[in-house]
Amino acid sequence: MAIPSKPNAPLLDGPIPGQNLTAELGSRPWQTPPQFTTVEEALDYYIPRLQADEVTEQLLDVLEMGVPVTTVANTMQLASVMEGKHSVDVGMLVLPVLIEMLMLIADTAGIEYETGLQKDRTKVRGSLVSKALNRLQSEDGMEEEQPLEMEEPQEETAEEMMPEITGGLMSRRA
Amino acid sequence: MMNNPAPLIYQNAMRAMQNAQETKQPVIERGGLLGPKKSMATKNTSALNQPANRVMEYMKAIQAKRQELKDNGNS
Repeated sequence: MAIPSKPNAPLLDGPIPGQNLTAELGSRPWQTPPQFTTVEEALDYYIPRLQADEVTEQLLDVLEMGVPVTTVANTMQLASVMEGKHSVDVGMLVLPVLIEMLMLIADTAGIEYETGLQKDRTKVRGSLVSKALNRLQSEDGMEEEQPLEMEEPQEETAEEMMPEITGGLMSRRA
Repeated sequence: MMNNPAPLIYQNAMRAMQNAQETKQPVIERGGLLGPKKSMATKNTSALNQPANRVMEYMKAIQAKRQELKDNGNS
């Protein structure tokens, strides 16, 4: 799905109403009964996978690249919901444990990672800085131009208020 | 539109854990042969029956491990 450039721009290529009913009901994995119905079953599915060497290496690479732990955890649970492993409710319940587990793995490996929680938002993104600079520059430009545009309205003097005497034949004489 | 609910859920879970620790009441044992040892209110709605409470227990266990790891690393 295309991401709109502006926050309030309409999603033109989003799913149309009723598109979810175009496939036969039950043909999608998330429409079938979930494989794991409890938090414990879901964790029994996740934790051995997270502890596998291949997965751990990839996970650490992703975390070292600066992807927040919360994003990784959410992606994992969302993928499992799509695969029909567990329901959305179980996914939401499992999320905090997954986040803790990912942080434990990262701590064990001794890497620096971003949690993605509110406390970490003290870092200012480069894109925001450039945007602010552009805005500042455009505001400076506006201020420089303003004296030219903002001319003080001249007060109309009494002489100007007087009707102008025209010299034509048909003009009205006082 | 919320794209990633994970930070909110995690922070709510942490807050619930802190609140649960603050509101823990001491168990009062009642005397007498026929007196109940546990109040019926706590017996039926055992905290561990709730999935959210079990999740908090798992979180506590993992956090303890992380803290242990940090302490070992610092010492």
